[in-house]
Amino acid sequence: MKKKLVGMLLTAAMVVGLVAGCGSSGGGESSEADSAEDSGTEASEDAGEGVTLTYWGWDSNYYEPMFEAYMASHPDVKIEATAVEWGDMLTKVQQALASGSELPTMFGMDFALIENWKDMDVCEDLTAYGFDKSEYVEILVEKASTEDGKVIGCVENVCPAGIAYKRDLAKEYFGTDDPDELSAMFNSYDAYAEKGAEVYDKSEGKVHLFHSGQAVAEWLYFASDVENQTGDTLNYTDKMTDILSTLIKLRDANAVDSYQNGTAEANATYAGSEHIFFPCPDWAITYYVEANDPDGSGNWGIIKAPVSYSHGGTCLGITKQSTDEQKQAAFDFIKWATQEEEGVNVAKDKAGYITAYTKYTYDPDFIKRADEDFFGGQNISELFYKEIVEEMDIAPASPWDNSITSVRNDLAQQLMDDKSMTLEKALEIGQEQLEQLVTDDSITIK
Amino acid sequence: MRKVKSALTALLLAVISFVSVIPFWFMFSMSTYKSELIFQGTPIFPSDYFGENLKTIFASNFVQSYGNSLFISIVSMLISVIICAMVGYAMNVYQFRFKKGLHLFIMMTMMVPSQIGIIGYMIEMRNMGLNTTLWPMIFTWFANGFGAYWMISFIQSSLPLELVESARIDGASEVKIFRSIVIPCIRPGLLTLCLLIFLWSWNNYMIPLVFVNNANNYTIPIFIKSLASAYRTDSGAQLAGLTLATIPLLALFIVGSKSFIKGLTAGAVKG
Amino acid sequence: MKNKANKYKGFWPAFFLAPFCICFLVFNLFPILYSFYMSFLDWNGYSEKVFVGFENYINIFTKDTTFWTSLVNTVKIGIVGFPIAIILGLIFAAMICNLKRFKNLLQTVNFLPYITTPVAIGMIFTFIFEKHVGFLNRLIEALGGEAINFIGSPVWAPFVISFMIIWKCTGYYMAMYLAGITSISDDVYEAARIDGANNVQTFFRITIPLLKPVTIFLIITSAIYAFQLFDEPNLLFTNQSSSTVGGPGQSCLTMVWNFYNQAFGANPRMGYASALSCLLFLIIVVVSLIGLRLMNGKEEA
Repeated sequence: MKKKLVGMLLTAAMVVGLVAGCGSSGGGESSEADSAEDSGTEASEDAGEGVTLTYWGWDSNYYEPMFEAYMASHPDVKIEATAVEWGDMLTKVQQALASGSELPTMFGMDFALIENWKDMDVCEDLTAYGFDKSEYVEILVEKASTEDGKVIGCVENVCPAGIAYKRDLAKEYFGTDDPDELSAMFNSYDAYAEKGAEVYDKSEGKVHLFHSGQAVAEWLYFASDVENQTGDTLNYTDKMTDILSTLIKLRDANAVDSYQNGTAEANATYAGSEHIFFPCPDWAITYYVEANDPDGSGNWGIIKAPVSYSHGGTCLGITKQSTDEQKQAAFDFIKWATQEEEGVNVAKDKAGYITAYTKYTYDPDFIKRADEDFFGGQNISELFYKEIVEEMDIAPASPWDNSITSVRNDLAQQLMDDKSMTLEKALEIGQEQLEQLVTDDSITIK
Repeated sequence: MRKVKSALTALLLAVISFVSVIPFWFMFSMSTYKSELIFQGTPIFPSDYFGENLKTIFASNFVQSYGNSLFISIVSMLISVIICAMVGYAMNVYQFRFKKGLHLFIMMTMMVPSQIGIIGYMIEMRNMGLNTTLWPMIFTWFANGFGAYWMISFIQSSLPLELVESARIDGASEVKIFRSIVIPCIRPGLLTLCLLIFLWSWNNYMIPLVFVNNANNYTIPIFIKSLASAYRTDSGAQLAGLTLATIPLLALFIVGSKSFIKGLTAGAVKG
Repeated sequence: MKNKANKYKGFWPAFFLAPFCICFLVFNLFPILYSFYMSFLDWNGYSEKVFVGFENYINIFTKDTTFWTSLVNTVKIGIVGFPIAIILGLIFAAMICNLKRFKNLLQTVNFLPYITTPVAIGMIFTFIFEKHVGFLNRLIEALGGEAINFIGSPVWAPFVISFMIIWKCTGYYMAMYLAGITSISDDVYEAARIDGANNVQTFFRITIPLLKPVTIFLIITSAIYAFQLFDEPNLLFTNQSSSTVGGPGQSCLTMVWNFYNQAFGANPRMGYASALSCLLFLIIVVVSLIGLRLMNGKEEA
């Protein structure tokens, strides 16, 4: 009986298979049609008059509320987003280009890879649509501009960065949780090292200032003013010495713990009580701090880093492949998101992004963030968007930044793992790796 | 003495099984926690957040990814198994020229991993206009060397050739013989191969990683990875998705475990 | 009559073999040949293709130390992982084959790792081996030891990957061996018992030699699997903000990962990657040929 049943099932499965097989050979793209069906019906309804835009990006904290709000006020536009992991963004677009797949109408481009995006030459020049560079924060818009003056993407937000701290721990170990006093206390890297050693001893080895050597290296990388590339030379040794010597100083003072940055367990330390400071660009407030420590409202504060710096930043680009109608609609969205009152307010309130459109960026009334309560009422808006924005500088990117970043991450991890590793040794390991990663023969690594 | 020995054996087996199960258990138990809490304690016992995690994944396009994975795995499995069974039949029943060479060829195909030609495959799919569909993830399973080799050995050991002969004398056509005599004869082998191909295509990571660039085409592994791109790495939700993704495999293997072993016994083993 | 016999030599074999051969040519062989053609190009996926002859290959052998690193890593990870998995699989199979109860349960339980998605394995193993929150390190600390940074250290990380392999494959190998043991006739064991052989002796004198075909099959398939390693290391070491190519100190950069990174990294080199894949192909063919030899040797004997 059982055998028969199995036999019947198998036959049934085969019949289904054959039918599916035939159906597919006739239908060709039937699966596509199937999968597009649920979303497709809606799209086709308003396709008559409206326009559908597609988007790839990892920053759902930004694009979800933005698209929702935009579609609510612009019913003729539909935006479909596909979540792509940060690390896969460039790869996905390259694969799409190589395999001839369709690109989205818009995508997010991280500043860290902006030179690679320029090389790929897939984005429309926004100035052709009336984009005025002078209306945006100069250092940011310059970063997204090519040598011949094209602008490949519109920067979503200004990204000043500071150091976030946990108030309860600061009070316990430094006797104060006042941002001004702490700023004065931590005005140099040496101060961090000194205090780090104290905290470590006082807590009997339990508490570190920072949770991850990689996170510290990332911070120092963006704070460093050494350019990655000048002409055909990568200034590897200078840059890494700048970063790693400080990291080693902090490491030797036991100020840094050895979590691997960005992992789930590392993110969990935001809610823990063994790490006091977290390098914190303004976007990380929603992306990391509030997301990982949702019950920590009121227990956070932010101070300036010894060197004011900017970290991250995302540009919205429009692909050349899109239809003219889509391009125009996409540009309208970008304008709405960065220039128009409704858009910039949604970005500020829902994502914590402050537009780089100077009319708003430099408007003291506008920059008021809604989430200052989370920081115990500290005026972080003024700190970020007035003080730090004015002081910060951004080192220009190179097409090899991804490789340099990979090496930096690895070295930071190894330095934390092997506490006896010296700067020279680390530089040597990194040099070897980078020489392999940088495949262009005309580039020399110094 | 004997008792001590068997007690030791039992203990050892228990330990081994424990090691096998514990990561699996972690997957389940961690999926019942809120992400922030997973790493704060040791989540050995399930908590009560599974429902919330499910809500999170169902709010994104989990169902569609699941459907895609099912579609890919089922179609790959069915077609691949039929193709392989046909090879097995031909290689056992017929005598023809170049048979030895072909046998060698099939052995070689077993050793050609699909990842190696992935760049060429990508360009090929582009030229066929299929690169935005699910088909690239299905086609790679059609000519499965392992399956063909498997079926050859399996049919060799479990199909009495006299059956074929007498059916021929009765005037049955070759297709009919294959369908109504051979297939029932080799059922355990077919089932085993079905399970393996389903498993492999379900868990496949690299080919979808290269080909999927549209949320509508996500497969489960890619979908789970994309969850990491939202606000934060929502491990709880990811693991809940993975737990759900394991269910069909688990069901298949529990239901089919007897035939599976039977199939293995008569299959590759006698190669 | 003669016609009919010809049919069995011509049309029908072709009919049954055609789907496989066509699919293989179209979906497996052609892509490899195309990759071979591309290995003579300098192409990043979107620029103009430039024909460079053997330059890619020459570079691999003269300049590219990463290729050799990845080869060594792959072999290292494989050589630690697979033999242990195969031996353990054999031992467990021998242990449970005579059980009267729980046999099915044990088998199913030990097969669980094999069906677990690599994505899940990556996450779970992080949770077990991570330095600060990892289950294993908690255990070590509870026993008075000092936590070890398994995942972050270039010394330990490859072993974690090897362990992943052992964990994943042992159950599969066990099932294979179990099947093999089941197919050995009881008479052989009976005869051995009459001759007064004990369990250990029968295991070494009868079980192992009779399972040789299974062992060879497993060695070949695991060697091929080893050269394809990608999912496990890649998923263990890729995350949003601290991605490295190849894990700590590139100690877990396998050949396929290296290939993937060259082909689809931030600075893609499709032509070069194709050359890498062709070399990988060559290596796998050589390894397989050696394996085939072993198998054929068995048939002759």
